[in-house]
Amino acid sequence: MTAAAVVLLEEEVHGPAGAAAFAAALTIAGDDVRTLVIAGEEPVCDFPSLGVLEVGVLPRPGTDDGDTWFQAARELLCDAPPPVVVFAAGPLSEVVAARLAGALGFSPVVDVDTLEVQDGVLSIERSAFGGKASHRLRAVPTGVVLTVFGGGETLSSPPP
Amino acid sequence: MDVTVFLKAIPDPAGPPESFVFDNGRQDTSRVPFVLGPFEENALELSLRIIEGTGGSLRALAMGGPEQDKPLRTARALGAEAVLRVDGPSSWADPLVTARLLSAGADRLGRADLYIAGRQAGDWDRSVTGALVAGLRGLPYLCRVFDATAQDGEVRISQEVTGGVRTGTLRTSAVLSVTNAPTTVLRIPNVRAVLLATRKPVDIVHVGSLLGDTERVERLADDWVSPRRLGRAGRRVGGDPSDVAKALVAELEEQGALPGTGT
Repeated sequence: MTAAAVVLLEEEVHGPAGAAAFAAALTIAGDDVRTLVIAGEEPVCDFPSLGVLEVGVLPRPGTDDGDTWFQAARELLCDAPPPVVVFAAGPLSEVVAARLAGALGFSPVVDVDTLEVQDGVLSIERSAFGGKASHRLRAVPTGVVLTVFGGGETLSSPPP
Repeated sequence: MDVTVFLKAIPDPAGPPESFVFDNGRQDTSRVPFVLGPFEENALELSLRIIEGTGGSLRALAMGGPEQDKPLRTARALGAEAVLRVDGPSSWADPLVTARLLSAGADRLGRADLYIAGRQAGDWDRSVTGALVAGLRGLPYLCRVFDATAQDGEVRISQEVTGGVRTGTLRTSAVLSVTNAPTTVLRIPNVRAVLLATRKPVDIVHVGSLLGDTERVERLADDWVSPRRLGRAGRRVGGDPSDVAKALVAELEEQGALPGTGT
């Protein structure tokens, strides 16, 4: 088992992709998961989480196309990034996740539909060619950023 | 303002269905022409608009085999002063390695103020190259850009954001990814420029001279790619609204989708 962090950008916390991100992190890392939530303002509700929950609040929320979201995610992760970082797929993570991967020197796999762990290696399916094809790839879980969709067969379970 | 644009030729997505063939887990591209990717066309057009407005220079960069030379020649015919192909596999499994190679290739072309990519490649649908290059180079990243107007040395950028459009003035070096819009439809080069561009060879640099072995180690590996089974096509129901309603109810009953009608 390897460690993983679930990074949820506020809009994606309660959606199906958020649940899928937790399911993916559980599949990859078991108990060794921490949750990072980045919120646009002081949170007014509880966030779902696995493991230690850290909440980053943006100094100026919302309208800058992901730059402050990226800076906040990097700040929360840069000291000790886990080998696998999981985002819920969504408009914000599309902007933030791959840029964070570049900054960390990690390999991104976006829009994951299904995920399994086989002999310590991630086996991932996603769509390609405009949805006309399925693409399966293997990822060594040492320096990987994933964004996962909700609704995939192996990624539809909510956190316990 | 100097611009480096990242281009990519992909198997023609508008090709006939019989050309979309997979063999042993890989796409068989022997029967399909390669064309400049749709979003890379948009990136090239936006790059041209920026250098025309600011008086800068344009360089174009692609990675892969000889199939990538045609889009580079198109860029040259439209005004790119330098074009470079990073010679390597057409598609690396690990986009981090792709981005590292493109970033290193861009350095070979000289410093640029803007690095511009298409929103996503039309084959793998990853939408990560621009963001990765931004992360690697420590530059701001503006995605889904659809317009750029240059005035007095400054560039005003318009981009799609959640719920609307954001427009602002760019005052720093950055990475842009460009989306499709009427403002980013690629112009057609004139025939003479195309002929001249074809006569000059494309400069080529090999991956081994850009990155060391350790930087080219891939964490990802392709297993296979195969066509998806598509669901049954939709059926259009037309006519009088009451007839449409009856037809829809009958269809739903037939499918067992209404309570008490399942088989």
